[in-house]
Amino acid sequence: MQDKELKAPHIRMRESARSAMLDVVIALLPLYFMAAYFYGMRAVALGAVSAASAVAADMLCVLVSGRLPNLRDLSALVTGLLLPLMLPASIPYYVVITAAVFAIAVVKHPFGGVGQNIFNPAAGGFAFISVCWPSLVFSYPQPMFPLPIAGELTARLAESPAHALMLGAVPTIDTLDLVLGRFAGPMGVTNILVLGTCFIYLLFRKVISWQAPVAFLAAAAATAYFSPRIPASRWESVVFELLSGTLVFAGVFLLGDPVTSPKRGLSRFLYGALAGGATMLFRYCGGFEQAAAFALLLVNSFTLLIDHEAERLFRIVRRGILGFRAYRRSRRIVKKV
Amino acid sequence: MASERTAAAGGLLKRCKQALAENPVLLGGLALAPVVMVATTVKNAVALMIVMACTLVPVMLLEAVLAKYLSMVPDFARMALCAVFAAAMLMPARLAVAPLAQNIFDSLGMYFALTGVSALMFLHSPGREPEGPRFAVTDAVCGTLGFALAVFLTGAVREALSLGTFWGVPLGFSVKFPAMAMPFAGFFTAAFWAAAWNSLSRLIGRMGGGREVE
Repeated sequence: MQDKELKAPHIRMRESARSAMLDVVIALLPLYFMAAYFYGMRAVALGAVSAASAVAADMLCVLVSGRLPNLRDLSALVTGLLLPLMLPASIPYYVVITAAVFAIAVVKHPFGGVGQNIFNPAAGGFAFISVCWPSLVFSYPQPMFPLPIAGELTARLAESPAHALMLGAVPTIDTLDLVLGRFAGPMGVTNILVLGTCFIYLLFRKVISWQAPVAFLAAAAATAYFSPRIPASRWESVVFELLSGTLVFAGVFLLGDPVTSPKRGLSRFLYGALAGGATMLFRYCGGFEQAAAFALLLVNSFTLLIDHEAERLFRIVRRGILGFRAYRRSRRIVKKV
Repeated sequence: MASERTAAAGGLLKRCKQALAENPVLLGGLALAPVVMVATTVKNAVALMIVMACTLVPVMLLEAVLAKYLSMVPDFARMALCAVFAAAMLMPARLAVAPLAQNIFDSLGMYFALTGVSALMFLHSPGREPEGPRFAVTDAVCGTLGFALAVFLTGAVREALSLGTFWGVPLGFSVKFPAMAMPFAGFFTAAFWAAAWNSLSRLIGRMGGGREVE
């Protein structure tokens, strides 16, 4: 008997983990471009340092675990590029390196590495440095004043509008400036127009789904509308809450992480809503103005449960619909008879 | 007679090796609460070690000596009696811990008392294996050493990273990580030590040709 090499009709899929990560990297580039426009080349240098640290930590962790590094895996690069965008451009390099190494060596690899981590690495890294150095993480330079790449920074640092909201004050910033990101804040998350474009690009490329980000922002907006914490109109409260911090960025880039988010559409919706509610709860009652990363870490621990319960709910609803149809059909037959 | 002694000594040694290799805290996950919550400095760690030594060893010894009488007592009552003995032993433990630092009891909080009645005591309870006081004391000492090792390693790393000191002496680190003093950092520090201990145990097992620790 002769073995024949059979050529099966393999389906060649263009999408892979690498292409999805590459799409995220492409989506992050405009944010870095805007950050460089607002704060100079230091923003790009921070991104490069963070990405290099994350990739180096990833390779080291892979080697320690007795495997060979996969050069085609871009997940560490994405984590490294995401982190500095949530930070001020004035942040010292060692803080960024710490965040990147923590994200990879503590949040990602101990749980099994690529595709196995329970918590979002970038959110974990951000949360760690927020707790360690809150004064460095939550003080921002003014935009349009380029910062030097190295050496001592002389820029005057200010609080972000999110800090004013935390104190119960109404930020004195024009809405157009809020949309365009012309205010002191994290270097890559303030330009809502660019973030919106990135969201559409990732959605179009099917890298992320719409359910989680939309539910996340809707839940946050609903909380801000029905329970405003500033003496302003309800709509102003919604606008300031959504546009003043990392909320939109977290909705697009952190919640869309395919590894740590649920797998079904309904569960993604629940996941997003829960994350939005938790973020607002942390904002209203917590000690930090940028609370999305903390809320996301909390909700990440419920991902499996959300997936499981959503599946059960879906089955119950489906059975109910099918049962109702069968009942109507039997009634019709009875009537005919 | 001599062969019996040799066998007994061999048994003790094996028991001691097992107790240390299968570290009750790092591999067994017992008495983890004080390690995570309180072991933020070396002084706290040493205080926890003293409390564990002052409670576990005497209680186990007493239980082994009174094993004949305690065997007549139901299990749940024996456990309660153990806890009462341990609570009584907290008084000398308090005297031993007090000189370490002025605010040591503020740092330890309720874990000072909780460490005295930890799960380690019930794990090594001689009531289950009535092999005599010698084995009970060996078990207790090995359990205490295992706990001491885990709490010391965790406390030392957390103090070095959060305060940049060791036993209050500055180490000269320019960067400090205050978050390492928080409970979440206790969890992952203990987890990293557990992973390291597991690897070490396997390596020693492989080198010695003995069985690997499961």
